[in-house]
Amino acid sequence: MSNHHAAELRGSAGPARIAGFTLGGLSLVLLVLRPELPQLWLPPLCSLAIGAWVYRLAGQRSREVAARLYGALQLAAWVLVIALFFGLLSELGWSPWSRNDTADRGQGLVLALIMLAYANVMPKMPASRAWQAQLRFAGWALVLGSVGYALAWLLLPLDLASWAAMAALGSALGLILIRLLWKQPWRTTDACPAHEEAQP
Amino acid sequence: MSDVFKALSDPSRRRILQLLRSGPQSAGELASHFELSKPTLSAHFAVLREAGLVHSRRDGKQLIYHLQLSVLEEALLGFSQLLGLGGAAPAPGQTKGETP
Repeated sequence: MSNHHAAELRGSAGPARIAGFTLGGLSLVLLVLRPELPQLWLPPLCSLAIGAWVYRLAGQRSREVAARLYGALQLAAWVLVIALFFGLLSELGWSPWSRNDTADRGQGLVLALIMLAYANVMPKMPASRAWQAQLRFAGWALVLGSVGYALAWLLLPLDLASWAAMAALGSALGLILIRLLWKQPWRTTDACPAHEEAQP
Repeated sequence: MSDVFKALSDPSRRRILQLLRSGPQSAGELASHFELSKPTLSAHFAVLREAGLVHSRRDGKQLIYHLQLSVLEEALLGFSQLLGLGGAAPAPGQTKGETP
């Protein structure tokens, strides 16, 4: 295993573990509170067990594959954590919204989290100089759009939230398209960097 | 994430990232902006590579460095620059302490 991959593993293990433990904790709280409703706590507990098993299996074959899997498993775990958190709020009667509202808002936040995760790493993709600038712009625009999307679902009345959320995301996509057509990065011919790392 | 914070805590490394914002540069081109010894600069490059903030490609005898910042890492770079963590970034050609 190269030093780079070792560092990648070390760096991603912490947040993934936090996500896993949070997910396990929330599932167990729901299990104690509502043992009669296995549909609430059984799927996340099974997902956690399968995720850990897949990671261990992949790690035995290739640490590099395991490092990549960490990111995907971590995102899946956080999506489940948000869903469980909103489920728990509803079950405890602590949610400021009705049960249906809570489900809609939770779904909106989960979508925002997924978009945020992918937009954040978008500028890391290897590309030519012109495309790199476009990817960086797109990354920032989508991150801000996703934050707006999440805030709309969190703070606005439900009948307004979906429109505002779509407007935030639509604005980001519109800006990306305008820049793409304006700069036309496909017209530049600078070379695309190789994917493999060179060792000095 | 601690690797990223460690990499961004040094003003010379932040300066390297700033220089790479304008596009990929060879190790020699980057070195011309600093008065650091070659091993010191190599150590800085290694820290940035370990943190996944840059990646390098060999082009003949030259090593070309490319920026590889996520949105969050770029925001952290901006904040650390703003707060001047670890001291201000050296101006081009300015001598700095050689402690990677």
